[in-house]
Amino acid sequence: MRIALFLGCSAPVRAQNYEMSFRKVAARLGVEVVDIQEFGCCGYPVASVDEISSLVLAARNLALAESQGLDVVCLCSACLGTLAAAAERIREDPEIRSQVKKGLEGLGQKLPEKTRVLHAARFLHEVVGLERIRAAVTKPLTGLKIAAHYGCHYLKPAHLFGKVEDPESPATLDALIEAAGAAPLDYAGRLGCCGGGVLGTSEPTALAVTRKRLGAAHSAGADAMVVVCPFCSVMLEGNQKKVEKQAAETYDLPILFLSQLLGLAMGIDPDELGFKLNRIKATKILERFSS
Amino acid sequence: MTRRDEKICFACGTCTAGCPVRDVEPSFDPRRIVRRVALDLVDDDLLKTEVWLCADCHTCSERCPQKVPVNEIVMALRNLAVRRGLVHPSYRAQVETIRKAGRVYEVEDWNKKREKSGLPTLRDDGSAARQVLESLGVTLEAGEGEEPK
Repeated sequence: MRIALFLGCSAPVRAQNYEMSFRKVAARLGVEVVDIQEFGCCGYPVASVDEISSLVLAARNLALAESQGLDVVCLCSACLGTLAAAAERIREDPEIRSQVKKGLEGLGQKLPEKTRVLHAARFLHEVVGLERIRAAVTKPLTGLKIAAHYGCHYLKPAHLFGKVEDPESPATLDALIEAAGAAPLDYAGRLGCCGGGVLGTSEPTALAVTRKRLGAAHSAGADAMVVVCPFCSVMLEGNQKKVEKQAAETYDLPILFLSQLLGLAMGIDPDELGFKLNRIKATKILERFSS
Repeated sequence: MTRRDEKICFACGTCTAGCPVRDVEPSFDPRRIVRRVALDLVDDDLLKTEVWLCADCHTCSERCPQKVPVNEIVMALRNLAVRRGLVHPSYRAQVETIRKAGRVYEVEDWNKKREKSGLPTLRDDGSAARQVLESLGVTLEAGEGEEPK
């Protein structure tokens, strides 16, 4: 099983623990990760500025993967949404198709036709499969209460992802958390947005949204939240202290990437999973589950 | 695919009711944005501030009983804002970095830290991104409108 790993902008810089743990877990599951050096920005921030430019940037990445016959696996949910939407627009809108084709010709690339785009978590769930993951778990995280934070672009727009799960009632992350032996929590606002989308344009608004997510997971008694997007982590972990200070509340809630949780359950050394880079230390969890 | 638009909105407010930004910021109202587009009431105030407050979470579009692509309408308004010289400074900064370095961060600056983490080094000179933005004439210079605050 070979995949092209699409890092995007945030993960390789601000969420190296995500990248480290995904690579380790993938290797443990027999997945060969290919790095395409020429990958660039997915096009997401450019979509707000100029739609066609964003689509050309996205399509260029897809074309690079397609030239190697590989499907694309994204760590970041915004990259996922952008690349998957571009693939759909190219397929279904003749006008867009010809404009993107022209843009790609200037870059010496052909229009991508068949490369699939998957989120890393959905790749683990759908392609690798729960059975193989369960078989790789050597240290089940029994009794660990985990609040899954699905975030927005992992689920929506649902039609981009083959309607594999209902965005109002998703289950894939909970199933993966269960595969690690931990207990997924049902909690208020589990489908909520992290607020990251407005961090650059209105930080107070963004932090107010983040506060709702943290407060709900904390009140539900979560030992940790699990995220699958580097920007959700920026909000829930990177800004947690700021939110605590502004709200005069204490959460002290570790935010783990799904692949860190899975790696821990597979008995991989926490240092190799980048736990030292987590800003809210998961000390209690590591004391319980790593030896 | 038949693309549906703002004209079929019957103003039920499901978009506004489910909006995570509206939840904390009462002045933000996706239903009003859609109505203003439908009634041709788009002005610089809308383009300067409100459209940049959307978190792009897609909850509105996903829940709309009329399948109005609220989120795509907001994106189209942002593109329009840019053409009127009303780009939000944070987007201007992000796109300028992409033009220079190919990504939102200058990834090569992080290679030392990446090596320490046992991760492969990254290279990006931004040339592809630059070429795309330049060939399509994307310009973020201030136009006729005022600078957003």
